[in-house]
Amino acid sequence: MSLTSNVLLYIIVSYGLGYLFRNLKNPDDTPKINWQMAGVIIGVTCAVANLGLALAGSSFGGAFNLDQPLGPIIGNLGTGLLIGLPIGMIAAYDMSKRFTIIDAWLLFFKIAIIYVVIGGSISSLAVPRYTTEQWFDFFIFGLAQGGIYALIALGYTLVYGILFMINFAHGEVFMAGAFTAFFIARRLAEPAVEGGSAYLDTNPFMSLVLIFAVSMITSTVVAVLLERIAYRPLRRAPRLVPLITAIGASFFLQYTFRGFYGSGVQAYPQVNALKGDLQVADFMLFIALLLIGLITYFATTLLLSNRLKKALPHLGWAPPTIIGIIILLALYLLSSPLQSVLVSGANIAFPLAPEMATELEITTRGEYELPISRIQFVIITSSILMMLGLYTVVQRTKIGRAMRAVAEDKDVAALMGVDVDRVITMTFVMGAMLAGAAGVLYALIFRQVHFFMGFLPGLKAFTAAVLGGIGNIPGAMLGGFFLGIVESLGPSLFLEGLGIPAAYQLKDVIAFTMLVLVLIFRPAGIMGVDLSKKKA
Amino acid sequence: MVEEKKQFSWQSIVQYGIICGSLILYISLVGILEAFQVRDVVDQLLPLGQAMLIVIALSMGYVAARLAAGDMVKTFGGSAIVGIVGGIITALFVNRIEPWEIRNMFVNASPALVEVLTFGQESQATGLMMLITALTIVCILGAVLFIIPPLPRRMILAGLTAVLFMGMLQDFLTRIDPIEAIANILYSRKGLSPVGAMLVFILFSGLNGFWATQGDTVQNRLNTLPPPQKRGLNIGAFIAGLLLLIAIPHMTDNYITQILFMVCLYIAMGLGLNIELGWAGLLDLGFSGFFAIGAYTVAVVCSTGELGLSYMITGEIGASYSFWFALPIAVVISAIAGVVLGIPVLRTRGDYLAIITLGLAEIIRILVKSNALKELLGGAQGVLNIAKPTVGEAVLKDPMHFYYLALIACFIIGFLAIRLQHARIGRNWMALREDEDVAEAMGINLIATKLLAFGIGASFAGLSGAIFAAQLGSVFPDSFGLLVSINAVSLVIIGGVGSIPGVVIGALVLVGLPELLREFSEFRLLLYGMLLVVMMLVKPEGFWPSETARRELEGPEISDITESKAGTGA
Amino acid sequence: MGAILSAKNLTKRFGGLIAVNSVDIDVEEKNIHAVIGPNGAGKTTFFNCVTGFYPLTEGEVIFLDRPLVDVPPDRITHRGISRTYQNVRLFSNMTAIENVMVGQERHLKAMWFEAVLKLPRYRKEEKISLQEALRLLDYVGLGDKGNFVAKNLPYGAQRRLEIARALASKPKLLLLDEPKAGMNPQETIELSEFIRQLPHDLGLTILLIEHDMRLVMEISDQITVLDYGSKIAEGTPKEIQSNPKVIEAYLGRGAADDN
Repeated sequence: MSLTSNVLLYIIVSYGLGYLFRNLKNPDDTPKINWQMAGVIIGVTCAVANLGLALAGSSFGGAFNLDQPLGPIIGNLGTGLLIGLPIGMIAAYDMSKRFTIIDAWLLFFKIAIIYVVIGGSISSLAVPRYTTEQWFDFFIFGLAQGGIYALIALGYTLVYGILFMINFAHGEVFMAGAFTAFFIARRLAEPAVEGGSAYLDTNPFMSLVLIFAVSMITSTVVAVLLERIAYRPLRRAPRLVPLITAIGASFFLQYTFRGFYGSGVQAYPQVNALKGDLQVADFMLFIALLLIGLITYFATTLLLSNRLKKALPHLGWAPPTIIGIIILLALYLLSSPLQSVLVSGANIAFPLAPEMATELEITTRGEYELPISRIQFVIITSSILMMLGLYTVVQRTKIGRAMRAVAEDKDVAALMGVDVDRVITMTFVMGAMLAGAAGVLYALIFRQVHFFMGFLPGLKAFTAAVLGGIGNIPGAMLGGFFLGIVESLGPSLFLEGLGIPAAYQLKDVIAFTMLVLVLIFRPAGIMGVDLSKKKA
Repeated sequence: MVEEKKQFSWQSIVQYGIICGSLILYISLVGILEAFQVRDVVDQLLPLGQAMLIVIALSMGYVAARLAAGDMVKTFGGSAIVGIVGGIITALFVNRIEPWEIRNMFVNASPALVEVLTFGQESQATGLMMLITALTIVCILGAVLFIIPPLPRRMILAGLTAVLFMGMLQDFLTRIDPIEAIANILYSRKGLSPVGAMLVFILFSGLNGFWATQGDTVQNRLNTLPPPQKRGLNIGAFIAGLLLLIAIPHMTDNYITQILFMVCLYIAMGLGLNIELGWAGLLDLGFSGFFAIGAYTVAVVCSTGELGLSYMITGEIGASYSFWFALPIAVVISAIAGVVLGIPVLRTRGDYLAIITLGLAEIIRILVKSNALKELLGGAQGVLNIAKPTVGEAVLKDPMHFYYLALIACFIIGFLAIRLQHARIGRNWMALREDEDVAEAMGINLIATKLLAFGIGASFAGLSGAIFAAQLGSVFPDSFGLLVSINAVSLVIIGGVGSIPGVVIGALVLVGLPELLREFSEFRLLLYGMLLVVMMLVKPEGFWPSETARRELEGPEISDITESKAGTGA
Repeated sequence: MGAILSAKNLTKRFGGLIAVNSVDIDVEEKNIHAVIGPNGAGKTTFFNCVTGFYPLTEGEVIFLDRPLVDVPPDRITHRGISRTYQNVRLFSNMTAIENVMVGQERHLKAMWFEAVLKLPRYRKEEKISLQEALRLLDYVGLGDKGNFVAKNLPYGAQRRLEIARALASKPKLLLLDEPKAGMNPQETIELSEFIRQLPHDLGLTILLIEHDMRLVMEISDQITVLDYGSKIAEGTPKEIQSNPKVIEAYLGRGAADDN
């Protein structure tokens, strides 16, 4: 089946009929057929034409493999309808409004995209190329990847929400953290004595805390310096000036770290505790950790928070830090005893049947494996938790309120006694901490770091931020997950079905295409309000 | 940097000391210091790396002295402390390199670096003492520089800068035959000879002093020349410049010619981007795409291989179409691509436009590189065997030939650009840049005007790409990545947004200089990035701002000079 | 004399907010027609609708007997409407001459390739255009400031330059949005004299938004009063001055509203 000739069919029918319906008008200048109706007619016409052409053996018709399970007639007709209806609807809707040469050209884009997406999906799903488990794996991988994008995207969104600038160098903030933490990770992965075991293996929890801390601190330092030196003097400059500065800063940082740490690709050490699939016991550990964390959090806030505030009135950062350390200690000390209690409790409550034990080669129910790898689980849950944390900070705390005030109107906020510079610095700090954390997560799953690693994730995270409506925090999270999933499923779902060789090479094309499409068609994001216009 | 006016306090002096130390640590760790050490500014006496240390210390001392506002104790005490603090920080760091195995993390914390920072002394302690002392002395010299009167200060600084630059330009100047004799006096084996350095210093500080005291009168005399004479002078200067450009390849070797060729290509591309970015205000981060389209068009039309147009039509390997046939096609296709890719982004503005163009260019590059388009454009292996252009019987193959080709292209493009700038379309572009809504309300058709900017800009880049492909003989998708776009954007912005001479200067500085100083090449993008940031902070209008350019090119048409000066001076 | 511009039932809504509510206005040829009203009465929105910057929600605008529905702003300028802005919007990095020459867009025909080749038409056009620009600058009293970059001009001169730019398209209808804003008393007197002369000198019609009552009463032939997006009164300055509704709209809400 020839793709180029088949797509011509849809283009010709939709443009031709759409134009016809547009010009069919009642005497009072209203269209004779409303656009919904016109869309259906175009869709049906496409389907019929597709069937006719395919049966006649012309390469202008195509069934995208749907004829294999459903037979040629229904297959071709169905394909025609599935592709034709959305194309028809969009064409008819566009043409029902003012329709200039630009709109015509953009419509062409839309039709091509719909054709690829729907056609590719039909083709991949009609003839199963992958099992359900494989699709699920793609999906989970997409989710994990999306969590990382979402964390970075929050940095873009926070800064854009307040300064209306694209912090192009945010990807480098992410890189700086991950790359610097690599050296700690490598050190921790080396056995202290010859032949001994490494700290990373004996105490993965504390090691990871350390790695995360180093990464987040480095990212924060870089971001604060960046803001202080490069962005602050340009607050009131025309819009392109900060963007150009950010681009410059981005390259400066890339090549600075290249100079510091060398141009080679460094392999992140494997964290053995995170190898393999998630077991039920791990999941229970996670629940236990969550419970302990929540309990300690509430307990310490209730008992300590106010006292600390009184005791240390000038150190605003001290109470949360102390509480954070207490929570970490509680997690560290309580989790393994609690976990063993939970596991043995589960074993007593639901003993494992012997035949099942031999079949799955496990001794307790706790070792039963879930269809998700440990590392992916860690990434997804930790990214969600961090995002929730950020959301709470922005919605509930004093600094969050100040941030929202500054986002509304800097001058008024300043008049109200908000220290605008401090708020902006805090915004960069928050974005950078999330980016630093994302950097480690990225390094854990892709297991390599280098100086250029920030560019693509940065750009994709920006896409995610725009997808969710830039400036919108929940939007950035959803946008991140959405982009991650589409990017992970896309090559197999849309492209392989179309017979494109080595579709995985085009993974980035999917992300970039989404970037371009969103910016052109929905700069306000797929769900958000148009902040870029409202506030600018 | 835009520093707010600070009051003198010993605390801020220590801060400056810390900044001084951090700057030294930065250039050490990033590798600049060590890499530059191999080149001598003054033979045997002053390697470039240490010269950079001097520049840092001198300027920090100068800045610290500025705080003191005339008080001699504070001036010298302050700058000395800056030097001492900076020196101690550096010394502590050097001292810890080995015990803490810093090299495991920072690849540049090598014994060679230690050697540079300790002046090659056997004993580290002695070396570090020397370092601290030297930094302190230089910082105090910086303070001295601050308190002497402006004229000698200007002269000294000009002389020092000239020595630095002349030292770096050794490779270039010694390769130019007619001035070889002079060059031989100035330079010894490596860098300027001590006598040469003295000569350069005296010459340039003298020139600078002359210009500072007499410059205005000279300029006035030039300006008050009667128009025909002035015109004659301009024409004379133009012809002299032209002759020089034509003569250069004959006076030097292929290496320099090749660099000049690249500079010409970037000028052509920069002039194209200047239309979009400088005049119409459309920041295009995907500009390399049009360069690539020009190059690929020539590659496909002229290739003698299986991807060539000739093979596709006749099925025979070995034949190809002429470059001169491909060239207009390349220009036209690039222009069309500019318009076609311009349409979807018409409705977006500013920062979003920049990101979209970046995205589009990356999509195209990845598609070309992938297997999906391999049969058409060769995938990652690119298109090979591009036939060289011929003129009559002669085959253009030397760098010199291509240099002339690129030079001609530059002149054509420059001519077009100048004509367009002063025409209605140029004014409309600038109006668009200043205020899109108002421009539309003035009756300007935004779509046509923007598309024209995209189309013409792209065609310039396409022409440049076409020549590039012909010279290289093969094209690969990775030759046209984001970095090429960033190069182009940087040279337009750093040279001076919207200014034609700015593009030329930008290309010379950003493309020519790094090629000439091969040690730089590793730090090229570092320096671009830094320059972009610093430029935006300090001088957003660029090295050669367009307003100055306008005054020079157009001349005062209706009013006298004083007025146009008052108009642009404020 | 007939109406050069008439708006019928002109309505503009932003979401739920009605900025202009079914306004009918007829502007007579060669008149100075003022639109007044308290802040937020929808005057500038009305201008933006007439010049095509905002699409209308309802109603229509007829200019020289042709409707201006769905005509983009640049085409409206080509039909002969030109405007200035409340807060001066010049092309600030271009010279005064260039600003005015951009304003002449409506009358320039030479294409870009003609400029490249310096064909006769281009040369002639550019020459006339430059002369015309200089003449206009002279007319508004900026004859000696042609080579100044717009942003370096004093405020009053910027206002005048903006008017010169608007006049450069030789409009039949000129829309002035608060031309007095930010001027000192002396400049205001000059301005009112200047505006009053325009219809005589150039044969054009003026539609004017202004806050300054004295200026409006002095120079207008006809006044329309808007309040909360609706027309509450129309008539000659005399009629308006004694209209109780107008007095209420202005004085009833106190003088605080008046800028």
